Amino acid sequence: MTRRRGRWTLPGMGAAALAGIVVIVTLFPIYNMLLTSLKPDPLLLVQPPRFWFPPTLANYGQLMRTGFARYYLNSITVAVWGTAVAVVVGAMVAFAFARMPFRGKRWWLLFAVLIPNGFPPIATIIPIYFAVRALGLIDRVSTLTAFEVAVRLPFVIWVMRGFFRTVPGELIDAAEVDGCGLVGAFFRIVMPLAAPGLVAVAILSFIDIWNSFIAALVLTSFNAVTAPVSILSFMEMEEQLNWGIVAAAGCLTILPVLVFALVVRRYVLAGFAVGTLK
Amino acid sequence: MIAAPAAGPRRRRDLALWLFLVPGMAYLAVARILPALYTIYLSLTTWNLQEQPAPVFAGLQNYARLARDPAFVGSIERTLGFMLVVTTVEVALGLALAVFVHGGARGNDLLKTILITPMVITPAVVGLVWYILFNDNLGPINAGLRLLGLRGVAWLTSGHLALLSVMLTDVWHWTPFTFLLSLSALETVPAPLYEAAQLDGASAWRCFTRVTLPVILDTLLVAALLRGMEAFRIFAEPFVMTGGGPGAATDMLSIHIFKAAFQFFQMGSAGAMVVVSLGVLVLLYLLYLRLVESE
Repeated sequence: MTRRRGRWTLPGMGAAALAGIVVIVTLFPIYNMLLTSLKPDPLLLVQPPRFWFPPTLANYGQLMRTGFARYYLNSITVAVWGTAVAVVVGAMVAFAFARMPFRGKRWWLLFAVLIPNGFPPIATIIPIYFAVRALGLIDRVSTLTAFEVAVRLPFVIWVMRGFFRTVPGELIDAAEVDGCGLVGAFFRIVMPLAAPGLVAVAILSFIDIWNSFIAALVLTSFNAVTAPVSILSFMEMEEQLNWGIVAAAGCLTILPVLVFALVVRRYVLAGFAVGTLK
Repeated sequence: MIAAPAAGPRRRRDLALWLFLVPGMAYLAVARILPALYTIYLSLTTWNLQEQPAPVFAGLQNYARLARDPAFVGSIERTLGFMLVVTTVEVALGLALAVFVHGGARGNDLLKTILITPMVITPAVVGLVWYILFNDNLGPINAGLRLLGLRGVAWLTSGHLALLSVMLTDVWHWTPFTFLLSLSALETVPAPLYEAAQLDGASAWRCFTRVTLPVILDTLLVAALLRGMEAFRIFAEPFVMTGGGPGAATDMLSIHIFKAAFQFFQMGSAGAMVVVSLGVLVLLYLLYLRLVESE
């Protein structure tokens, strides 16, 4: 543990070289997409690929004329509303679970929360597709949001239940007796206490909903298409679009999740820890 | 004078708790559990969406047919193989990287931040990123090989290599996850244990296998199970990169199900495939829950 490595010793340089290789392998694929998105059209298919050229935003300009802005906005709407609803409703259920003594709680948890948490989206998408089609709700942002809420809810309940169990019961009783009522105690005492957990869960839910693919692929066709699904359709119409435009769509799509990963890394890491190990 | 909550307020309090509980649970029941049960029912029917108005009960016919369907069996085998390979590689590589980063001293935080980046990236975009890299016209990989005097490789368009290319993509995407879990586990190994082992003159390798590994083994298992489940249900990356092709080379189970349901409209058959896939996932998931519970 206390062994110190000199900077210029052979093992030290070996370690630095290894670290360098790992960093390049990790970042180069993303960097390469960014470069592609900044390439002028005539250079796109030049082999070997150019890594040095005057960058242009022309591809981004053209991307904005494809309707991508609307798909992007759809992604934002679904992720923001989906996260908000899942976190608030999930926290309420989790609180009730933590505070309420009722029979068969463990079974309810297992069958209503834990097992659905393990379902992939494809497990339910077929009947959901029928139901949505029959109700005439296909290709709507609100439909997609509702589906994503259902997918994320078990996870939120499970993690928040863990947080709420650490809130001392006496605190809640005291708040209730003070005239807050249970609802007041929940919003004024419990939620602020659980804020770090709520933020972590919210960020993870946002990333997950933002990244989700199959639901939007099935439930949308034109109006409610999200950014990731639009990338697939861009790739399929390569006759009309150059790869610089598709790469630009890719870069914009990963921008929010990258920002989250970098700026709020601490929360994300904490969230992963509670999400996977508790 | 403060009285304990009397009967009236107590009933109100219970009511509030029920109001907290019921909407969320009811929604889960309607939007998650009911559809899953309906999928099981569908699996016992034949229903071609374009020809029949409603599902027709058919017993276990779908399952019997699937068991003899080489395309489906092939898809299951491919998906299981994919799962085993990428999970093994990702856990081993993630652990190796974690040991490497844990042992180093400076610049760790930056390195850590960089190394976990791929994990958060949208799977469909991961598919695009690697499509560009592997592409013969756009990508730098084949250009690099040609510079070295080698021939370009048909990464995504050859039946032999496409699955390997998707595996490489998955390893790039998810090794950060196993790295992160391994690193957090390594940080829980008590330092005195190392010191004692070093005093005893144990080699670095013995130190690792006798001191570190037993402490972090549970976390590694959790990481492997979580990765296994995710790898088993992979969809977006291969769907974007190859659409399941060429031929059936990257036809993973989720893609197979998606095509059966939404391109061929064989809803009963697709339902049966979902049930089979859920069976595998629930099994892995219960294992995972047991493991986490025992910690």
